[in-house]
Amino acid sequence: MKHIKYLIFVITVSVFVSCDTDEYLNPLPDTAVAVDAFFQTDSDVLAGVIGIYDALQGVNENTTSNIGDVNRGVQFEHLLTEHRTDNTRNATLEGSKADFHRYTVNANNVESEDYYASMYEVIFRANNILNFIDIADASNQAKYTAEAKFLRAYAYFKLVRMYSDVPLITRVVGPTENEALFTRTPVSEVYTQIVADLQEAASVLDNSSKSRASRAAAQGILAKVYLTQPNPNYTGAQQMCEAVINSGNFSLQSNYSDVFYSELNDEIIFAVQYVTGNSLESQSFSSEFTSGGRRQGQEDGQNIVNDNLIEAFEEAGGNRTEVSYFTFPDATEVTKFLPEGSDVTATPPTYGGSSRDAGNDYIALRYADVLLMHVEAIMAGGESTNNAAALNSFQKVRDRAGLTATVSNITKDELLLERRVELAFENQRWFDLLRFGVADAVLSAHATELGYAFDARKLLLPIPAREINISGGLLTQNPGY
Amino acid sequence: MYKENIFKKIKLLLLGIVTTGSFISCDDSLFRDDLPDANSKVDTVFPEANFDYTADQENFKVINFTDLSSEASTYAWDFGGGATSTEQDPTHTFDGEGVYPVTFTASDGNNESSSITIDVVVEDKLVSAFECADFNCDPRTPWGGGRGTSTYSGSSSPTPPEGNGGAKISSSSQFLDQTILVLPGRTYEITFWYVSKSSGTSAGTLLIEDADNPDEPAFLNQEIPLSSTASSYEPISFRVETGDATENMRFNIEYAGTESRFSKISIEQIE
Repeated sequence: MKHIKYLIFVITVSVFVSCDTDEYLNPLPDTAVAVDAFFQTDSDVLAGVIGIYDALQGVNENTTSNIGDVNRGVQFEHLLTEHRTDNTRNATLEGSKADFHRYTVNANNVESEDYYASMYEVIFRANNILNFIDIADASNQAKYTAEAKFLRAYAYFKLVRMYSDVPLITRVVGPTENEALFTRTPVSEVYTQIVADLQEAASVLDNSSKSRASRAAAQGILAKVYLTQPNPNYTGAQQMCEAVINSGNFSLQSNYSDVFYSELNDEIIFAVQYVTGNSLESQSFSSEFTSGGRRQGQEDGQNIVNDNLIEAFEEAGGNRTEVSYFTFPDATEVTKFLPEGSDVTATPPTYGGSSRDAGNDYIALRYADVLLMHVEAIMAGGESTNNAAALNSFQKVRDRAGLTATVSNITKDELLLERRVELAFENQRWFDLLRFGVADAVLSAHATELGYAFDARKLLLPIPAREINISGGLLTQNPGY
Repeated sequence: MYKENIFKKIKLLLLGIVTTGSFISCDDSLFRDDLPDANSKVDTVFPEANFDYTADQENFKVINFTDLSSEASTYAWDFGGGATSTEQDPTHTFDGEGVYPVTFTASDGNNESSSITIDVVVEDKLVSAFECADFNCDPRTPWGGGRGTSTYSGSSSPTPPEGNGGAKISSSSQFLDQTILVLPGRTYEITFWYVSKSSGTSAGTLLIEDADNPDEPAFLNQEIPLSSTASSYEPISFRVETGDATENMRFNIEYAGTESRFSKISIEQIE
């Protein structure tokens, strides 16, 4: 009898600590997000729209170290893009973050999986808003829809270029709908959806925001889509670039440094915002770009600049060079995204009071990119152009860099080089190499130079193994993984 | 007694080892073609062959192949003409331009295989272009044709197409002369914009020839007709066919008694 209270105690405790085995045995796929409908009013729907941007923004590595608990959004993107080009590398060879620059990424890579999951988080939140759009005020429905579709297209455009065929999901799907969740859709069909979504966004939105989707953002991203898709639409790309140029809402900053250190300036078309010192609204990549004895991040140092890129800057950088990177005795580091209060010229360098909770925005699209895409669209896959409109756009970017000699002809290689130095460390180079059709040639040479093993199968990242494992044999892997 | 015991135990032990040894002696054949053990799975995912190819940047005849197959461990390539390879990503040099069917077979360890044949298009993709195509460069060496610098003067009136520069030819010491790389046996269309004064009969003498063989008949040698007005530029196009061995093509315009202006020249290969 006197043991009964122990018995009760034990039973009670066991009720509390009993494991939810169901969740362990049936993990949810990354491409499914369980949602409870909490949408009651217009402001709930607006909160949901903002939530899509939140998925893109991601969670600072400094906040939650367990990568399985949260998605990092775009905060790992430089690993999947810049590190896989000839631009940058990881400071050391430790851990899965160091696999990207050596082309040794495998299907279990956590950063690649996190990025894949993050983009699907964006897509699912967007689809979810579209599902509850009727609850919003009638006057806001078109705008919310356009924003959701812009973000869905933005995420799919990243996915389709990195992973090729991916499951195309445009409605809310349950976690058990394997057919929808794991059937890979051909690239061309994914592009059809991306184009349709961006066209709708461009027709509905205005240019009143830079931190949220706008008409110019949709037009600019659509221009890039037209240039990238399997059968490029050069005329459409030119029209989209000219629409942004002729809007009169954007201009190049006269001082290159202001592009990065003056938030939402006239050159920014779309940026993901972060807030300095706020652990929940900040980013970790600024601190991760530091290495050696200056290490501010939790890792050894990322985006360490390759000599090959330094040579490109010496050739074509102009006054962009001093803004873009700084050479320490042991490494060359990115200086486009230094945390608030940094001074790398001091000895030792200082990085402000909240380097790990940095507020530097992630620049998704800026005006210089559009000007150079304008040149690319007019060149229309050719080897060179001397079209006056193209020369005009190109000259603006060159002039701002202090390279004021008149350009009378632009070759494809010159355009690629200009993009390389203008947009260095902004996660554009990888996609540029693919779009210009030179990724295989450039990266083979780069890998040979630095002793990495590269082959053309590495142009696609592996579909995350976790997804394949829970797809019941539906999801197939990319060749070579 | 004690010794005997030891001996007995050793004998038993040795006997045991020898006996056991005969059972587990390593015979490859026993393991290799043995029936599958319990719990081993039948391979139900078979190879699927696929590949892609890219031309070398320097030599268009050199084609780099990339295996894109799944579930395969051995590879067999047939490039035609008896040329084969068993590499995963081989490189093959073809004889010249043409369409070559290449067959690729991907196999796994159980001799399951899959084949695919893709027509590989080998073509020379040289894109010809004029240097200083708006004639608005300084110095004017690109249009000097090896005769030093052409002395044509820049002109912005009448307004050239798209605001580019124009080259004014108004005496016999002024000319346009440039040699560019082309491909043999192709048809090219050369387009430029021009405007001439209304006096005289010819806006200039146009000569297009094989730069390495000036003695052979020119591809084109004719007078350029006067422009329809003297106040605005108009485009004009000429088609030429290069010879079977042509590598360099010379484009030359000489003064023919009437002041003329030229602008915005382009060359396009006609498929």
